[in-house]
Amino acid sequence: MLRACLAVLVVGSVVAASTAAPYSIFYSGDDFPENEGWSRAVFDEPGGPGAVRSLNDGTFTIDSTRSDQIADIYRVSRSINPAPGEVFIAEWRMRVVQQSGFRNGVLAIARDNIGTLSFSVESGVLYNNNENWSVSLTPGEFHIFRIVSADMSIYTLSIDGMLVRTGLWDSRGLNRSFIGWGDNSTGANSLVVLDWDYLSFSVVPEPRMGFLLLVPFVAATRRNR
Amino acid sequence: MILRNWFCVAVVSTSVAMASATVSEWNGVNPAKWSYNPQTNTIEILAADSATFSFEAYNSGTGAPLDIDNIVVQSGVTGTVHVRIAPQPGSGRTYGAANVKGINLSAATTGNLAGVVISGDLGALTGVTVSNITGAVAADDGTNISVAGNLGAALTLNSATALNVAGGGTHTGDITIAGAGPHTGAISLTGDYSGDMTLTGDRSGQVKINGDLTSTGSVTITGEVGDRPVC
Repeated sequence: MLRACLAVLVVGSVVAASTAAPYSIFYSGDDFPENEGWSRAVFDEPGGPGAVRSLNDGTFTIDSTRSDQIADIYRVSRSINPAPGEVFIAEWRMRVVQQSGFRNGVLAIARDNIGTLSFSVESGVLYNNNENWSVSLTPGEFHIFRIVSADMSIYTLSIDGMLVRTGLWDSRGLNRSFIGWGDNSTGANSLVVLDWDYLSFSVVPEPRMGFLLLVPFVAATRRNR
Repeated sequence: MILRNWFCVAVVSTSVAMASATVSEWNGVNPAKWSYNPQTNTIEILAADSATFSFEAYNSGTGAPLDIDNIVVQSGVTGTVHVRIAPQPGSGRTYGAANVKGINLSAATTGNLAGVVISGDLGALTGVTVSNITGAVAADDGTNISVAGNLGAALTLNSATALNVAGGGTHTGDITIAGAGPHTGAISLTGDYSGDMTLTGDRSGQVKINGDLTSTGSVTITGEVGDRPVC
């Protein structure tokens, strides 16, 4: 818990020092997301209770293996784009404990000016839904994913600190603004168990070396549970 | 309708209302055929292996219009895919307006797909992009598109062989048919148009435009046209 508080404090301090309108949204995995300000929507067969959810030592688990008609999604709707001189950063640590069937959506970001960036997983694979590319992951292990975008047109994706992709946001997707995650898929025989350690979404002043070093520090404080 | 042949997805609880779609098959029970992402409102069609694969994807609520971000047809899909942006006729279910923002066939296997038909209350069809398809593509049908009375935005077909826009209203969007062709299918446009029309590529099929073009910004047809009249 101390490390979690420290992590939030670090992000909060950076936000407070900024001059524009930056923000920071952090999910710690210590409580159910709807208790930390996230809106939740559950999909299931008629009468079904939805996913089995649990908390364990700072990790939030979504188990949707009972039915491929289950989706359990979390969202914060707000303006997310950075202003000139700022940069958008999304970072999350998760693992695919179990997955079968067609790939399962896990994260979606809808920028302010029409367009989305979204990802799906299989066991051992991360897919970009818009650009149709994939990258291998170590099955069953936690990974830290990090998106950085200054103009919300071009983004970089790093996994475990390694730059793996520079890509483009979809330019004609949803005309709304939100950040969303969870078990984002129904159908396609997709059954999944996901462990979420933390998620962080923020807009901060244009990178300064000091800040770029701080964010990985946030990740480090949440690791190795 | 045989109830047991329906495979329904229902929102069982929400802490904050989110516009979402209900996706169901009409003529099948295999949920492996489609995947729906309620975060992005994207529908992926994976294996429509019947002659005609039909499913409905509609706004479960009656409030704000639902944006269906994209309908993606993946490789290996065969036959005709019919997407109805409304409940099946006669179901009696209530639903809200929906905007289809895109149809993406870029991953579809050329030659396997017999056609894609979109129907329903396309109150604000904001864009259809089609590529790599050899069969007929129809922005269908007159009844439903004419609810809004117009094709509100650009309709772009790349290398499609046939197009039928049957709505009888005023279509304010541009229509562009690109690609080198040859376009062998018929193109039939009904209604009044105020947008630009650009038909590019060689074609041997008929082009029929039945409506008032006096407000059309421009009509441009390029490419080798067979021995048929184009207008």
